[in-house]
Amino acid sequence: MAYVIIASIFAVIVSLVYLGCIWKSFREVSRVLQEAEAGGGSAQPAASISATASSASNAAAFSAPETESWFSWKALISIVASSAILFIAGRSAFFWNLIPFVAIGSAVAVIVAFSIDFRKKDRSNKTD
Amino acid sequence: MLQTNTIPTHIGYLLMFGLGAFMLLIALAVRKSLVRSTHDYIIADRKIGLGFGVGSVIAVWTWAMAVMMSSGQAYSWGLSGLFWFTIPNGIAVMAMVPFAVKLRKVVPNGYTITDFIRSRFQNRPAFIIAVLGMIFGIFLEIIINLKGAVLLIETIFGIREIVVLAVVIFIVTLYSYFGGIWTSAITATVNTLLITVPAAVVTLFVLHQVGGPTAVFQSLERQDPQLLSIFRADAAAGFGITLALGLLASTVADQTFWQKVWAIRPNHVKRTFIWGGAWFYPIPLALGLLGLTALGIGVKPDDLGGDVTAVGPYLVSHLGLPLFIVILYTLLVLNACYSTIDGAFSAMSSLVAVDIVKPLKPSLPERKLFAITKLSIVLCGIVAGAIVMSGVNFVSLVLTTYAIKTSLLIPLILAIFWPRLTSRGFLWGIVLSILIGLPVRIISGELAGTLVIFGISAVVPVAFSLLAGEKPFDYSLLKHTRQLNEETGGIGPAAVATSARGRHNLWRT
Repeated sequence: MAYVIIASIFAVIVSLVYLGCIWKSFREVSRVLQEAEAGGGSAQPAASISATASSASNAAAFSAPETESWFSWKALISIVASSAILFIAGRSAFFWNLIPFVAIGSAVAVIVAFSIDFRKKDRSNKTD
Repeated sequence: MLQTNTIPTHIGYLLMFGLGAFMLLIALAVRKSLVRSTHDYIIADRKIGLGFGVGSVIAVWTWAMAVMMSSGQAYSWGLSGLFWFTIPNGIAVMAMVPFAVKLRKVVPNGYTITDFIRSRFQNRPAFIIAVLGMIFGIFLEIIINLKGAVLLIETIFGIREIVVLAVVIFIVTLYSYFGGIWTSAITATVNTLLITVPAAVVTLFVLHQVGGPTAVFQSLERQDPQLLSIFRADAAAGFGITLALGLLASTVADQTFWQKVWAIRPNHVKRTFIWGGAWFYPIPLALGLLGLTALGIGVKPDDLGGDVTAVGPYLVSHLGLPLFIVILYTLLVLNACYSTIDGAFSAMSSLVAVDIVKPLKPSLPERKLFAITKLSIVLCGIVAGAIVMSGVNFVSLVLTTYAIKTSLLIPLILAIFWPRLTSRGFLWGIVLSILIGLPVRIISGELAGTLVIFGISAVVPVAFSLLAGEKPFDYSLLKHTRQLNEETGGIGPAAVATSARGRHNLWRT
């Protein structure tokens, strides 16, 4: 039962942070769009508003790194790690209680992804 | 140990409608704040960040059926079944990376993979077969997920199939209508939370309820030590290899993923798909333990009505678990179902706007295009609902979709990476692999059929292209395509670019 209780506590904490990240990110995107609207004049028709915003996204698109490699060590590590988890699960029952915690790890990974977004935004604000 | 839980039917309705109402609130907020035009609706102005990107990719790839199949395969084959189900699934998502990185560079203003096919080959039959493959694939995604929801709700709450289908399709259509891909990305990110966290809590509670993992482990060891091995060759031959090959086609030849490739900020595309695939793994890993637990405590296939996919819902509703655990499990599967269907709806709307309406009516005003794009979701919902509720046998639909999508995979890869590929090679590779591979699959089984389809779809395009000796395609022609919302310069068939290979009728060029 201890595992269930620990997982439940983790679950509640992670869920709150996760939902907070979604809210913050949603507000951020919404704010950027509003700023773009304000920049282009509030009475603009919808298509023009989007065009203003899209010019920025186009610029970003073209500035994508040309030499980006498609290979990723993280991908390889995740495949090996998942296979190892399954292999170990066949060796001892002890690990079975730990495997479900990795599922909460997926939610934590999304939180980390949001935090990268926020960090990049902060950095770009400072640069501006 | 097993007992029938008496779970009131109204809780099932409450969960389906409650989750739908929650998603609808999000969708309305998204519609109000983030969506101004067709461009926003189908591509989110290419502003989806890493957080929403990873969250939505995980949820969209976590099908309701997959949630239950991870338990089902573990129940059928032991850890080998779970291994062969889990590992190729994550690889399939990560396999998008080279194609996504390349196409995002080559066509930075892209919307759909079929639009790339049209621009790349200027061949109507090739374009039509690619669009059909995508549309069939989208309907199949919706239908399979509806079936997953039915299996769950019927097993746990005893609600009739037709009612579940009607309720789920109505709810998801309603909230998908508002907001398009932004809604899909944000609701799917919420869905990921409601899939991953309950998966951990439910699995641990089930293990606790059956006396801990040691009892299950020892039971499996007694039954057959091979159940605890990941190296069973019969699992690989039985379904693993076929599944692995089929899954690759399910991502690379699926507009649901390509829409995200072009909607995510360009610097996050690679990381989104790597993280999405890597952090998908824990979901089947955790839920697979439910299948092993069922096997360990002696659940018989007859108890499941012969459908091993029902093992998860059956176990959760027959262990005397507290009601909140049953609710968590139901929410988990419903979230997987809703997120995949709304992702499919969103992909359909992009296909309709970019590949069907815009080429047919290039000068259609933005307001009308936006309305038609949104209505396409409603139409898609009605058609999918009608197909499922008509009670038709899906075998032919599944087979056709499978054949088209599998046959698309290698020609599509060649189209992205090999400039010498010709339109005839692309078209005949697909057509011949379907015509020959599909009968082989029906007569000789899945593995033989899949290998024949892959073989023909690889050899024919290469042979045709080498024999034709045409000039290599210049990918840089695609770099400056205009977006839907860029009115200047003309959107329409009048916008014709001339290239080294001849006239390129690129309506967005």
